[in-house]
Amino acid sequence: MTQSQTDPTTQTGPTTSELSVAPGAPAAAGLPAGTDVAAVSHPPVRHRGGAWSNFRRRVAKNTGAVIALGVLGVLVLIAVVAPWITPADPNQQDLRSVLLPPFSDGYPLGSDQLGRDILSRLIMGTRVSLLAIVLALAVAMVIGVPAGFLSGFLGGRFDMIVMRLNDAAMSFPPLLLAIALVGVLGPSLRNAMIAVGILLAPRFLRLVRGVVIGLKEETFVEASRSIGTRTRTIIVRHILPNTLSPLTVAIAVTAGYAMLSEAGLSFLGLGVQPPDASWGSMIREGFLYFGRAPWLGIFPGVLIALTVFTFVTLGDGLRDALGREERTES
Amino acid sequence: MTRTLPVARTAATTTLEVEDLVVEVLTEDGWATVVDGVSFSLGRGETLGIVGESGSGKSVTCLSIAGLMPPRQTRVRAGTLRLLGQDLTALDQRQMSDIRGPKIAMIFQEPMSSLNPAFTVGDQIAEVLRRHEGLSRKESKARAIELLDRVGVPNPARRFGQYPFEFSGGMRQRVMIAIALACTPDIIIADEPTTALDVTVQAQILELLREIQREHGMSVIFITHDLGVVADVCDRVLVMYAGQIVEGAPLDELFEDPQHPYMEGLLAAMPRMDQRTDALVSIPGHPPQVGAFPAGCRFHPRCAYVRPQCTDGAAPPLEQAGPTHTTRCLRHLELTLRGTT
Amino acid sequence: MTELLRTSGDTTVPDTVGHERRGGADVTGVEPLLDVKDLQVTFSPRRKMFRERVELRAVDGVSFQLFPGETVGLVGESGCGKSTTARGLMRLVEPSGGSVTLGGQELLGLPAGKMRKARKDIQMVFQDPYSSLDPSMLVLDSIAEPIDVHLDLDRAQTVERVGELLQRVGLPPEYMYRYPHEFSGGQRQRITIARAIAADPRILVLDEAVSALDVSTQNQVIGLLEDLSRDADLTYLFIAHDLSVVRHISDRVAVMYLGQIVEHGDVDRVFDAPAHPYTEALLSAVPLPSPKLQRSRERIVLAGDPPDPSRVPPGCRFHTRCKYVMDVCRTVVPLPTPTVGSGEVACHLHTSGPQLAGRSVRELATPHAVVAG
Repeated sequence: MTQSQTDPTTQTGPTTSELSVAPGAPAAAGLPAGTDVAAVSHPPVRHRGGAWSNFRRRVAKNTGAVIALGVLGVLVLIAVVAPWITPADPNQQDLRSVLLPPFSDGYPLGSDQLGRDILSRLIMGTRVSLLAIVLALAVAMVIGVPAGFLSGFLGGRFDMIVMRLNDAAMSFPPLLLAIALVGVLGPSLRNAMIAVGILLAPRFLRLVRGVVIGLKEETFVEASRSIGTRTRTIIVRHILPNTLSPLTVAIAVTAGYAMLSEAGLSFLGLGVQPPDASWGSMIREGFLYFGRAPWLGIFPGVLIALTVFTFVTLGDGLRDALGREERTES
Repeated sequence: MTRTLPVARTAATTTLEVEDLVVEVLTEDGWATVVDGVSFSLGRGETLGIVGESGSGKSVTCLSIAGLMPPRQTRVRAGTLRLLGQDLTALDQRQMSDIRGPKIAMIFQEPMSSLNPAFTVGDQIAEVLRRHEGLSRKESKARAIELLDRVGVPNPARRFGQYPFEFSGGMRQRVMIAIALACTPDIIIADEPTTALDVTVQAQILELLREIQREHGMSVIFITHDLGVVADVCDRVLVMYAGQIVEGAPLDELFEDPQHPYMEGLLAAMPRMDQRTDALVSIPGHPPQVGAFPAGCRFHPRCAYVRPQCTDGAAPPLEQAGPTHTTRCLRHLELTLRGTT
Repeated sequence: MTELLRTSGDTTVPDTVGHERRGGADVTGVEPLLDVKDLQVTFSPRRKMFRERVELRAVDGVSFQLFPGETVGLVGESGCGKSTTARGLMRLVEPSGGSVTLGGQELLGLPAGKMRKARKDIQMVFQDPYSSLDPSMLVLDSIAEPIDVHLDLDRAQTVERVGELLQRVGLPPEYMYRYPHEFSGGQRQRITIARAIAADPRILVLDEAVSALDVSTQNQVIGLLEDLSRDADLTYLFIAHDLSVVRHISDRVAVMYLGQIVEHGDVDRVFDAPAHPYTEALLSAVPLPSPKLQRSRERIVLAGDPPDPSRVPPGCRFHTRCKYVMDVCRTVVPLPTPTVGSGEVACHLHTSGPQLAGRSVRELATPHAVVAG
């Protein structure tokens, strides 16, 4: 028998008997029994980097998510450079050329009921709509993330109170709540988006709370406690970094929802105020002339649908990237 | 338990014949062979053990026989796949699902995931009876309670109406056995059925399987990585490594006189509860990954007895090492390997 | 259960089997490193509407001692409270009673700051090598965690020490700049062991530390643990359900059932001549990898499942499944009594059981329990 042995009487040091450590050694030992099929269909892939860069790498492999990111990038670019690329002043009225169809001279996508260039308004509207989303998400996260974090981490009575408030907030019909809030704060895009942000906060709260509760139960957090690490350090080093990836997914998914809410509130006249344009307010204005000039509503409608679709695709892609856990790849 | 010797079988004593089974699965790098030319036959009333480490292809072999590998990601080819004289390779998905239940039944490692949490366990047993045996609602309920009683579930009439989560791991595995038993199949394939259970519960389940087999004379394929369980329940054993059978022999012969270095290594690596050993031995290295099987003998990178002739060319053939003993080792004639006593 | 008695301290009862064990040296008069007395861990699940609040005593009066350099195995089936015992004595769950003394210092009730310091001496390795390392942290930072907490080293020294630790557990030092997902289960478990020994603890609590690994990998990790305990003079509390592994690594072993230790003693005595009917059944349930032996063994198949820990049977907790059950077992709680060989057993057969020629019939019937004189 010349099997390699770990015989305590002949070993001189603890390292000489190591057999599993050749740098090129395939890394699939130690899978629990019964994982045959899984092990077979996911051959080990060796990458460098932590959970976060791992997440980004998986996103890069997801075609849908990459395309969605590209579309989003273009939209953001348009929003940034909007004032310099509009072919005409978006608020410039010309009552002699109202409701012109697309491909009219000087109005590539036609004009609205006041003779304003639709393309220019759409471009400026991109900026308004995206800013609105950012504002709503920021409000939602400022409220939801810390509350969810504390609720999940502290648990007990605090958690109970926060969750009751959360349930109360969620049991209102969302649009009604937004209308009420805007009614109190006064109609403006900023107020509308603060209202949307408040409405979306429970989503982040629940998500972060769930993630933190899950992480608290993770063995590595328990291991850290057994080592004697301070709670503060555990939060900063173990819990916060691991909430990053699920939070990214939630942001993408929620952004689509924020966009729809903005459109809805603007459609009701509670969002952006004339003469400024957002995609939602353009639909509202176009709505009145839908029979005569359907393009007024169609162009912004298509853009909203596309953008929401982009966010949803991105969210799905990110979720897939997150869902394929490290565990199956080791 | 009757221990049938795997002597040359006539058609009447053979329930399952597998010849040259090849299974490929779709991986990120394309098609990879996970089971490579597996052949064996299973006698009536015989318990055949299949042992190997995770990734050896032992589960895939059995899932393929039962037609349970996902069709899009798998290609299954077999020279012969015959169950009681019936050619399974000619059957489509639907016909295969008529076979599963009355002819082949499976028991898996994790009974919780094999049971539907939304239905009572009684319904799940009764459904099998209605589908395959054509029993009425009332008959199937009575028969299901009988089965629960048979597999040792206390208060079967009350337990009939309970949901899987109300059962402990061991009791769930009993329910799985009751479902498998419902149509008195000719073959039961048990894939690590006791791995997730505590030892005392494992002992109960193994005893139950033994009794049931004795009563009905069914054949059992028992997949496990635990050589203790193999020694407890099997009549004959196949050892799989990297998608191939590397050794096959009657139980005692395999343990006492292994003819393949891999089996010797497995035996030596088992810590023994009944004796104190100075040092635990282990087979160096890891099993190869699917799609990256070494040339020559697939075990050669980990083999203590490797010689140049083992390292390249095709895998060695499965040779007779005795009347009922086969091995895939080129050096089996010159080597004296150590077994257990 | 009262204190564990050391075999070697009891001169009237010689060892049943000759053994040369690391911790087998004469330890008479040696102070225990860890002294657990009457440990209680109680879980009170949240009260459900219309239901009585049920207290669940996961650990109910567990006592044992760890002497320097020895390995004590703690075995039992799932739900018996062995892991909760470990987490209770580590104060990862707060025990509801009892005492845990580490090197003379009482840990229960110690304020947070002092407890943190005390943790330097007692570290833990967990079962799941996948979830016990933070996926977002470099191996370097994971292993450095106890160093940062307990040792006063600068960054360069820390990196150097992590490199040494990796080498000590059999991994190349360069691996410190990688992330956990790049490693196999066995390699991860080596990393968690490196982390556990990073601040030079005296005791390692190994909670099913090799249970998730393949046999080969498991054997290699056990070899590593044995080397470490010899070289670094470590004391282990080895918790496992795999009795074969426990027999191999332990000097003494304690068997738990429903939150209590039912039997303990020198590992060879417990395995060769189990005194408690539960131990006997547990051992007989482990199939041996030898067909001949396995066929010839007497197999005791216990009926049913262990009782619900929130509704513990009166008297001896094992009486509902015990094949030797007597009337006294149903009402009177058996107290731990010294057994022939070594250790103690809590079973009426040894105190109130049928007697023959002044000795318990059970003792006489157990072939291995050789009694001197």
